[in-house]
Amino acid sequence: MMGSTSRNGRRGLSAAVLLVGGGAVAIAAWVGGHPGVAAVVIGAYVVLAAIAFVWAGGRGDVAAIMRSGADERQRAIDLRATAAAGAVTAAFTVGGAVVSIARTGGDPGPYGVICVVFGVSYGVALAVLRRRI
Amino acid sequence: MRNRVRELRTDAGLTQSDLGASLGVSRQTINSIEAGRHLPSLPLALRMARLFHAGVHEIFELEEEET
Repeated sequence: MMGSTSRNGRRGLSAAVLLVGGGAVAIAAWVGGHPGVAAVVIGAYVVLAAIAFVWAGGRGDVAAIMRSGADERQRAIDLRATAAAGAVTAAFTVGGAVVSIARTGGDPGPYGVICVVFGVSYGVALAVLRRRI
Repeated sequence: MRNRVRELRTDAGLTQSDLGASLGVSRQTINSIEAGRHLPSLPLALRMARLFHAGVHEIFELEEEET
């Protein structure tokens, strides 16, 4: 019984996500005519997936989050970390858009698209969550 | 918020891991609750109260400035 709750979830989840993501990047590189890059990418992601698999077998908070077997406090940590990362990414993207506008005389480039996606998805999330919570 | 989780747990002869396993949370979460860093959800507080045969108000108490 003791310690059983610290091993909830699926240990291979993070590793699987890394392998699928790495596989997609590797395929893209291969299709783009860079088989060498594809091989390096898939090799790197296999190593990262192996590290994630070992890490996810541990008893710590991060391991539980990686297994998607977190308790309420660990889910709160995950949520706040995600929010912090989102805020930093949003600030970086807005800064990038401003710099791009200054350089090009009006074109925010891909930063503009990301800003729109962030703003719209945040608005939709607010509208949905205020009805659910 | 003050709480008596550590006192009740030790009186019951439980380790943090034991209590966490009984409540379906990690040892770290029990430690965080005892230290006052994490406020448990109402369902977790109720499960804790049932486990200790006590009322929630006997385990958790508002500080003076919170009342």
